[in-house]
Amino acid sequence: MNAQSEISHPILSVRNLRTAFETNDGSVEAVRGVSFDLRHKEVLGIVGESGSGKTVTAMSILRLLPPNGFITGGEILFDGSDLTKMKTGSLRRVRGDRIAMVFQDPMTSLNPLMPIGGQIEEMIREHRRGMSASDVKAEVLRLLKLVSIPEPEARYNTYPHEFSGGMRQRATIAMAIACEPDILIADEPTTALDVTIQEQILILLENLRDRLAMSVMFITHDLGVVAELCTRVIVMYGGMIMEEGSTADIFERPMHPYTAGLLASVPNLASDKGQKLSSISGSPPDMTHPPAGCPYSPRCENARNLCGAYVPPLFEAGGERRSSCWLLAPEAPSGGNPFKAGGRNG
Amino acid sequence: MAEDTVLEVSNLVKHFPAASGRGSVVHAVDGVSFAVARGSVFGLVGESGCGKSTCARTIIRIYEPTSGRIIVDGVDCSCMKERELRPLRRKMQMIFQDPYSSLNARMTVHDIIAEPLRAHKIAGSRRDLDDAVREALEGVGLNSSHANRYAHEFSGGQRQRVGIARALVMKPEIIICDEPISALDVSIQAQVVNMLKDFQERLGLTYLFIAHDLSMVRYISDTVGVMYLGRLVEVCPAAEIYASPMHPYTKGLLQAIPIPSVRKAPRTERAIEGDIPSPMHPPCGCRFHTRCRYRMPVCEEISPELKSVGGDHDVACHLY
Repeated sequence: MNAQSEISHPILSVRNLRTAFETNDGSVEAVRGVSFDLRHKEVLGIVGESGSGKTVTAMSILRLLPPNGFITGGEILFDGSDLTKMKTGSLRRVRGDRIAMVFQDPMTSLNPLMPIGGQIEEMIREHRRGMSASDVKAEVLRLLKLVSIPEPEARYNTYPHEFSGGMRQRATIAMAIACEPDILIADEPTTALDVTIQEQILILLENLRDRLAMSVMFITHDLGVVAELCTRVIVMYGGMIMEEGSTADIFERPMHPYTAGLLASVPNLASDKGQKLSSISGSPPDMTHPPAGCPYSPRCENARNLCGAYVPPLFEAGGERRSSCWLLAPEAPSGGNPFKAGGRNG
Repeated sequence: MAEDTVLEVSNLVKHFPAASGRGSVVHAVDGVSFAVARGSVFGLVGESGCGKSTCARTIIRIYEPTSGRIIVDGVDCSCMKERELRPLRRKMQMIFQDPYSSLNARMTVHDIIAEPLRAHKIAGSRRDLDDAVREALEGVGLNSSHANRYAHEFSGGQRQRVGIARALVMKPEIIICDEPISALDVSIQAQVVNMLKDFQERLGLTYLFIAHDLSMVRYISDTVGVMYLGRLVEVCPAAEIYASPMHPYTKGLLQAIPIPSVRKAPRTERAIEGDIPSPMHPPCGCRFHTRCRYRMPVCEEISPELKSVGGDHDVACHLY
């Protein structure tokens, strides 16, 4: 495969994914028709607030949903096969080996009763059979070194509780990259960490992506982290994609009122103390009774009657940009429309 | 310092006995001094375990200080007994980080907000009480129809509004805000910060605002104090903390904050390496020296004093 086709060819395609949970209040749809591509060697950021469906999307890809969660529609294409229809046995060869995941809280993905070295060994034994014991140990030490854990030999036999939060996350990253996966899904891996430690982990992930030529799907609520790390961004809200584009486009020329509102509500380190923060009124939708139309419409300043009644499609907005807002419909009047009146999106 | 100091902390120390035993202590707060002018906002920032929340909780006497003085409105209250503290509690209220665990799940919103009024026997009649609660609810953008509901019926942002109403109903002079927005979604944070700022300006309140998010602290505060392992390393006007940070830790912390913009200044500082040392065995000398790349031999021996480097800018570092 030459470099050109590697870049353009998506490594993972999610098509019209729907995931629902059976609850006491009936069926709750957490992901409502999500489609996107993950390309070779890119870092794709998925941003959204709690309840936006970003984590459920990731969990659906690896079919790691809780027992009351079901994929109700759509397909997830990876390497020529549909992960939603794959048998559990074959799926086990994909999980960890081809697509690996790092979670928010390292303590939930580490076994507290097993030394760190042994846990990484387990991963290698499961997926790369036939290695001698000494080779496996050497490989674990190499991995610990790769994620910059100091004194790997001494750390080999220590337990997770003896590690700091940052070191634990490094250990779970070592485990995730043990089989050199094609895709690393990182679900808020730095949210539980302090900023100085977060910075170290972000630098590590960036280095690893380059060294191992992985594609990374980075799930976060932190717009700052996205700007720091991601090449492309998907903004989710109410189980749907609101906007998709390159990081520069999303931050410099947001096309969806939600993205624009979100960016304006974060104080910039350089922003003036005197001015009020612009805030989004209201609260995120209750997903047991989501709005009939655009999920953001009850909070949107630009909302019209149409918005509350019909879900807008993802409009192609030139280049690799897509945005799900009725304001971008070709028929939408341009008067008073910030996205059409000129200037904003050029 | 400003003439009208409403809250002053001098050499505050709070040590906790360590769970693991004999004689060893956690040095949560280790000699912190600052003064807050009336009607201003003092922001206290630092990473987890730096002692900022312990500092706040000791000031409001949830914890007993190990040593040091806490002076509120000219009165030293660091050794006061609970009964003597009562009038002080009316003056000083607190807003907590977690809007879930800080509201009693078995009480209605009305009872939650009325509780401090009852405890301090402020409202005379039932009617006064209802009026005060309604006024407090309306002040935070809720209404009296919410009064008979329970906390679990509200979203995180609304719960935090209830927490704010409970603090404001006492008409305090000082509010200690302990990470009031950290648990909220991004789109809700700005609503709550705007509201807090609005009250502060309108009612002339004094805030001690604690957060780990430097950009939000800088936004709301007049003065910012940066803490590291139980000590203040830098105190200066909020505008200066961004324009001219002095302490290597402050510089590294600022650099580490991911900025939500693709147009940003190139990196000047390297990332701070290593982990925060344990507060049970804090390093000798300057507590930051184990992670500092400007460290000198003196840093390992002598703990630097917080001293002025011009104007209201104080730094505890041997470089200056």
